[in-house]
Amino acid sequence: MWPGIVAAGVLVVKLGLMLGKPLGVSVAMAETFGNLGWGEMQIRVWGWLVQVVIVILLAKKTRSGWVALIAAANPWLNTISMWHVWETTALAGAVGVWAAKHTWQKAIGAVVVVLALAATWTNLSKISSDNLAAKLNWNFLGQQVDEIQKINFQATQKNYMLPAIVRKILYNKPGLALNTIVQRSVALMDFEQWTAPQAAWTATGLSGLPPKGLLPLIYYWDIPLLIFTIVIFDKKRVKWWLVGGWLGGIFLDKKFFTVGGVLFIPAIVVLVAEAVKRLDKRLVLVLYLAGTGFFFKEMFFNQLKWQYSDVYLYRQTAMWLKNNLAADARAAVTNKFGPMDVMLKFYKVLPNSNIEVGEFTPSPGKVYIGLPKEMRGIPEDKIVTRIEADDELVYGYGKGLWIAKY
Amino acid sequence: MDRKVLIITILVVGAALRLAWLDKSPGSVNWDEAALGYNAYSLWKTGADEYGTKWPLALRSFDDYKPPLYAYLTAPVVGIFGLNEITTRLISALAGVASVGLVYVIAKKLVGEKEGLVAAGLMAIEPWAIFYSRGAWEANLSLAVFLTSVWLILTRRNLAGMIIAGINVFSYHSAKIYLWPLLVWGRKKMGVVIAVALFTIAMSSGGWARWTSAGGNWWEAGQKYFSYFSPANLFVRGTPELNQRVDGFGLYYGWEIFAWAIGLVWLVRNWRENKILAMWLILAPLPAIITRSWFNPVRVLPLWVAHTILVAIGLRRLTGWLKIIIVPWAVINLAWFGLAVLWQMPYSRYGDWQWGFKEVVQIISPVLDKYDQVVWETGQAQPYIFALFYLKYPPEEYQKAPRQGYDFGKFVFRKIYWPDDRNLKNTLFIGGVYSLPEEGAIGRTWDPQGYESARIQATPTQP
Repeated sequence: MWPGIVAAGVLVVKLGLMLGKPLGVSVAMAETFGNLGWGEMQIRVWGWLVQVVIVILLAKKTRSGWVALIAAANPWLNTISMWHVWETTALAGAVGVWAAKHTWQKAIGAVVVVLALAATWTNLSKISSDNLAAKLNWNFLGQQVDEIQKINFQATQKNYMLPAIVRKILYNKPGLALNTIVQRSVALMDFEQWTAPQAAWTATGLSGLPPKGLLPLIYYWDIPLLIFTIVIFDKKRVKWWLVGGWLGGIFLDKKFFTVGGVLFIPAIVVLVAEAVKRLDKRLVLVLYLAGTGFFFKEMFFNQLKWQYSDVYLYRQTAMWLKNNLAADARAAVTNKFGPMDVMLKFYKVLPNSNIEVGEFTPSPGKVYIGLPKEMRGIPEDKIVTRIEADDELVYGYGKGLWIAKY
Repeated sequence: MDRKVLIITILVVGAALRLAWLDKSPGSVNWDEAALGYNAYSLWKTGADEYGTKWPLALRSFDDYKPPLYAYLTAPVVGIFGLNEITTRLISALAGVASVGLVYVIAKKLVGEKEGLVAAGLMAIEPWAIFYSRGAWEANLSLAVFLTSVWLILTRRNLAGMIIAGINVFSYHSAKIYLWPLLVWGRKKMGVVIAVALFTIAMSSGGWARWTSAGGNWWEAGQKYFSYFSPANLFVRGTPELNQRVDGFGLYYGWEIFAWAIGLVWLVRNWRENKILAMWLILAPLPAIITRSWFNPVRVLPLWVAHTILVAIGLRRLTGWLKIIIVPWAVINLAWFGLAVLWQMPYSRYGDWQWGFKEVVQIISPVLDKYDQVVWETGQAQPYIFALFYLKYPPEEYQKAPRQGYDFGKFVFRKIYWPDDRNLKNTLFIGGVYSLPEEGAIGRTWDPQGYESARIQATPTQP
């Protein structure tokens, strides 16, 4: 009983943090939810409600308060319900299908999955362009085979080439395809990506992961719990979640594993919960409350440390224009680092005939919001605000965003 | 096949993969190898290290106080056969071959005869085991010594095992951590006294400086710990440490994941009967997690042996289609790795091994006597050690001269500004293509990919 109550507490704390500390939304979310006329808080509350539904459905299906606690505290679920709300909605539908007792309930779950995926289809198409099928394309594999042999030949200073039959046996398309599938599958089991994607970037960067933008998916003590429970627990209950997570995970590029492997979440939650219920209750409570506290601190209070600053800068720009731009003043806002027009529409700053979005050459009589280098020619004393951020979003244009009343 | 024949075959294959073209791959000695080789040379010639310290218990080297065992064992090799890449790396390669045999007897004792043979076979061909045996890695010598102490304790020769574990603290820093579990396991009073005395000597002669330079925090230590079990690191990605990478390979072959997983499941289910192996696996990552770097395999070579034994356990229990395809798959992977190490690594990763000094020395050696000064511009840290190594510079002369940065004898390591430097007389200049003109160059070197890497210019000699 009490693990369920703690889970509810964790979810309430998250809701409080979301409402009290808005972080902005990504372009993908703004594009899809903006069309529905939703604002940031509506999206966040929807994401939160969907997480609550997932927590309840998983707990109900497994009849375990521990599952509720692990799901509520799980970093992966907390992340996607904030930043990939459509995908989380689809996951909720899938969990609904799994947990439902009646056919009509399963049908509703399936409809939710289809609708949510349709809503985010544009975004999914974008991130799935470099997928497994592309890597297994016969022509691509042929190019790879040629490339390896070319390097081998060059490495001998063009003096020696292996006999044709040996090359055919060693370097061939089916072999390379098998190797690709195995490597992509094994690469999913990346404990550094799962537990410390930023701190361990020197390692995860070798797999093409970005230095920012990824949060942990599980706590590091979940790893031995997962190994333990995978060995001793009946995996059949979560078999299809594991298969689904694996297929989605290897299909998309590794850097999109947070979305591609989303079907792993129910399996991880159920398996970890199965292990923790065998541990000392106080230890479990301390671990997961400390872990959640640490995770929430990172996500809500260190946003610029873990996330590229564009999301933050879009929001700050919109808030500044809303609060500070005089009714008769004209403003020019940069779109140098991303679709500022989309984001200002989302934040309901646009349409406004006094605000132009695009590249600009400063001349007196306007408010300018742009990257530091774009402010060349504007006297220093006209810069009224400097929004600090860690990243140089456009090479050579400086960090953060400057606002000038020229 | 007869078991003796099988184990001899495994040892021969292991030796061949470790000893073949030892001077060609890795493509050149890196600064640590050069330091070990030159200090060994110095010990052989003078009984002192490069700083003139007689019979040191730690090599000051680059102020990193290297444990000295590798250099002492290498001293007679370089003394008798000359200072070069092969003699510098030979002790590591031989330690690698010995480790193959030791893994056989240990795994046989821990799990069973067949698992022992499979583990030795794996050890002979696995990427990590081959790679660390082909460079002058002190850690690889330390691994062989560690395995010797484990074997001795396993066969109830506890005192000898504990003393060997104590001696191991002079071979690699991580051994100072591995010592303690071995002492708890060995449980011999005299062994503890001797080993702790050796540990104290090692720490007081420079080991402490290294110990306290480790870093990191406890939260990250937990995350780092599990990175040493991460399949992505073990089977696909390898390490971010540039001079420990073979492109396209992790520490193990991709096909081993299946057997490893089976072995891990077996160990979790049977840990009560296999406590030594379980403890080995659990404790072995400790030396690495207290340091700053993420996934630095060289610090925990004994851990990889434990993983190898797990793979062996799994291979023995493989069934179905995997059992059929695993052998051809392994052979093809071994061929890929062999080509990657012997051809591709010297070609594509030469920069990570401080390539280029040997080639320059070959050009300047015959003309060195004609010049009063040699100005060498290089982006590499500790350039002096390569010059000492490849020139076989007399240690007694080097020890005598007062130290002024990296400079020694007629060698000066600094930036070159040709408009001014061209006016110096009797001087040899070695620098990059942007520092020295092509016209009049007395020598040029090209890297393995065909790009010009260094130019050598000389100013007129005065009569």
